[in-house]
Amino acid sequence: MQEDAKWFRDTFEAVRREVGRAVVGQSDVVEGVLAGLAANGHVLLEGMPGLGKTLMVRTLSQALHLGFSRIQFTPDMMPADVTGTQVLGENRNFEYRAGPIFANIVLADEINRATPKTQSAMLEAMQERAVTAGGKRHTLPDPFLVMATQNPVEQEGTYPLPEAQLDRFFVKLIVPYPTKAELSEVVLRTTGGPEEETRRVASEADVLRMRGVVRSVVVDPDVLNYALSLVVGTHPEGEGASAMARRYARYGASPRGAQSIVTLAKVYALLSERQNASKGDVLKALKPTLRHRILLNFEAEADGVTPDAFLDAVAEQVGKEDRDPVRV
Amino acid sequence: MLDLGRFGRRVRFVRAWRGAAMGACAGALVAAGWSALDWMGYADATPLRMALCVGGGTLLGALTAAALRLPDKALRASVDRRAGLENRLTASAVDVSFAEEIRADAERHLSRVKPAEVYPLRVGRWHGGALAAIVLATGIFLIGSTPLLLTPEAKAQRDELAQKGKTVERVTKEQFETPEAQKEMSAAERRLVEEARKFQRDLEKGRMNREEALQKANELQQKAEELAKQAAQETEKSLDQAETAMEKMERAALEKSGMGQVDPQLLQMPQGQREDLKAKNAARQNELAKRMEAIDKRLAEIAKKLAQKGLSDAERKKLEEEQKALQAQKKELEKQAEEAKKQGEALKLSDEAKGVLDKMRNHELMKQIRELAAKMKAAAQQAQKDGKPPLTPEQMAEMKKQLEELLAKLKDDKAMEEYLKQMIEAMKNAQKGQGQCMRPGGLGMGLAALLGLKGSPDVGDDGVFMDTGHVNKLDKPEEGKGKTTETQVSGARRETGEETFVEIKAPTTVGNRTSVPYKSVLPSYEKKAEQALGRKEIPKEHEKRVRAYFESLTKG
Repeated sequence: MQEDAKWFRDTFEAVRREVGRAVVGQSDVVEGVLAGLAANGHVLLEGMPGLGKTLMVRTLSQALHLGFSRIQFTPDMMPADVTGTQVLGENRNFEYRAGPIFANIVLADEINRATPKTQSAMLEAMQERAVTAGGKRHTLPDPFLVMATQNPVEQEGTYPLPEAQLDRFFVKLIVPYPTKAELSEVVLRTTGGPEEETRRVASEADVLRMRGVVRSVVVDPDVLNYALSLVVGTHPEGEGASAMARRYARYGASPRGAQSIVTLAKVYALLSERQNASKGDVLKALKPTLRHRILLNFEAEADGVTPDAFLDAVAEQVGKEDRDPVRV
Repeated sequence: MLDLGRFGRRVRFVRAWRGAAMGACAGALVAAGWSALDWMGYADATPLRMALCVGGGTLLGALTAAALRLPDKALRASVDRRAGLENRLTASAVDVSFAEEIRADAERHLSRVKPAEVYPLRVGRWHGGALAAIVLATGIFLIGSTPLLLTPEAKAQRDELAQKGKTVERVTKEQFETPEAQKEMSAAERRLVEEARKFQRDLEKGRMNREEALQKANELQQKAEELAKQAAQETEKSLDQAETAMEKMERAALEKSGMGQVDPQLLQMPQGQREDLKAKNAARQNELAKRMEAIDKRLAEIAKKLAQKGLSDAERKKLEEEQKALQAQKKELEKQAEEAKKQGEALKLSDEAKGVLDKMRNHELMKQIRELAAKMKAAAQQAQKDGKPPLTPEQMAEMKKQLEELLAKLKDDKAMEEYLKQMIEAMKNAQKGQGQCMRPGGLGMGLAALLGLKGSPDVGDDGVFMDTGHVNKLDKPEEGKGKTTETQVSGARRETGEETFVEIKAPTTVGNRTSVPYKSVLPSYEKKAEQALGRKEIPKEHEKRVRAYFESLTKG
């Protein structure tokens, strides 16, 4: 197991380095995306356009030697444009033409611009990891990772993803603006000499192995209890509901949230070359995994409470209750 | 399993450190309360006791905290979070296929952790609280006991009384705090001793002034004398019982020797009287024999004459009447002779019985016992009379020892054993009385004199015990409103030196009698009376009475 953990870390770091050669900065986002890939979960990215999301995904697929496709969602896009459709073939038979979703890594750009119908088809495929067309089920390739992006500013003419569908994303990552130094690097790289070619540092099999390694990480009851306390702490009512949640939460995190937080914590443990997840890992995984799974009420909005601030408050309260069992 | 022993020990040590502070805090608060009560006069706090209170609390707190349960699971979790081991220790307890690897990883990280760094000794709130509580207790104690706020005179008086308090402490310790005394004390005696101890504490703490001390000393003295008298009564009662036991023993000895019928009166008769009685009895028996012999001779002559012929009827009748009278007389004499003989035999028997008893009484051990009994009886009677046992504690102890030795020697004889037990009981009672009176250094025999309190009616100018007077105390002594000054005057009672008296320039408020010794003020009163006589202010017919009055006082 120790060797597996080391291999996981080395592989992860190698991919990250390779992506880092093309994408300047955004190390947390890169780490989150890679974690999603290793944990077999989809990633929702929220950030302004032009921050390098597409480049990141393309580079990632090249580094892993995985298939990549990009779907730019628009309001007139139909589900078949995503999942594929039956076409009349040369031999006068209907044959299935796979949509862009049939790739290992799919970038669903501005997913909130698509109609609910198209969003639903996309998200169903994400969940089922298969597409049914013409009465025939078509399995999506494995590994399969969808990276959906949302523009948080332009809300006109968009269809915000419903909570039930947001829940299907393993993590939601916020893509920040690059710093001045990072921006300088971006400018120099893109306006200078030719772009460097991305090398292949891992394979599809490595990704699948990484998933196995992640599942084998130990979560002791104490850590699990802490993770569940955090999840339950987001609930507006019931045992374990935090004061913050009772006041500001409309809906708390779902059981998928609990699964996600523990899984991401395991990934973080492996990145520390540890075979067990710690409370620190859980805390680190809290915001990426739960920020899109909670729905705050109007009072929170009025008070300017963001999901991240809400989660910080919940973590603080749970942390206070999680005292040192040995009092000295 | 991971070896967390060194962390467990460290946790217990750190807990003990904190527990000690908590215990010290509690102990110091108790000591502070105690000091406050001491200040108010409801309790007796000493630095040693207060220190013991704090020390005891500290120790108890430390031991209790160190003994608290420390589950292994909790210790793992604690070390994990404190040492930043990222839950490696808790995860090592999870049963998985690669548990050994996890444990090895945990051990590797644990080996770099020092228990002292994970559980450092800190001075926390409890330590601060303990320190504050100790300062508080010390402050209250010092404020309550400090003489700083007193005037020099009051300070001197307090010092003097404190010294006296030490004397009382010495006496009570010597007399009542021996294991033997503790065992034999009655409830009333215990109360008295407790009062004496409180008195001693009050003196040492300066909680009473000189007059109050004197009054209290007299009160204790009176109680002690009462108890001493009671003890003397008990002594005499026991001695009476011992005498009864002795009589029984003697009776049993006579019956054993076949002399159970001996007349007790004859037995108790002095030897000289007995000899007189024996001589008289012998003389009487001789006289009776002679008289009977004369009667017999005359009766023979009468019988001879009556046997002769030729007697007239008148002569015969006269002889026959004389014969009858003599026979009656002889009968009476025979009766008397028989009685005399019996008396003689009784005397002889009593002689023999006396011999038996003398032999028993002249036994060396018995002699000793009787001497002791006589001494004790005299002592008990003396003690009942004036409440002052004449025997010294050493004499008492010696007598008791002798009795116990005798008991050991004669333990086979049940009657003697009973007798001796009664004697020992009497001795115990006598010793109790001795303890209460404690002559020459006891509570009862002039406690004030013993303390050397100036102004005491019991104190002579040479500090020797003189009298045991009492002051009738009011239920609630009132505060004297007059000025009290202490003055030294020269030579009222001694040819040389000084004598101290206390002059209270106000009506006394302590009982019905003044606590100032009358002999101290008598000369001035007498002088004033003489001046009044000189000025002819006293009616002539009362002049003689006034002089007689002062003369009687002076003689007394």
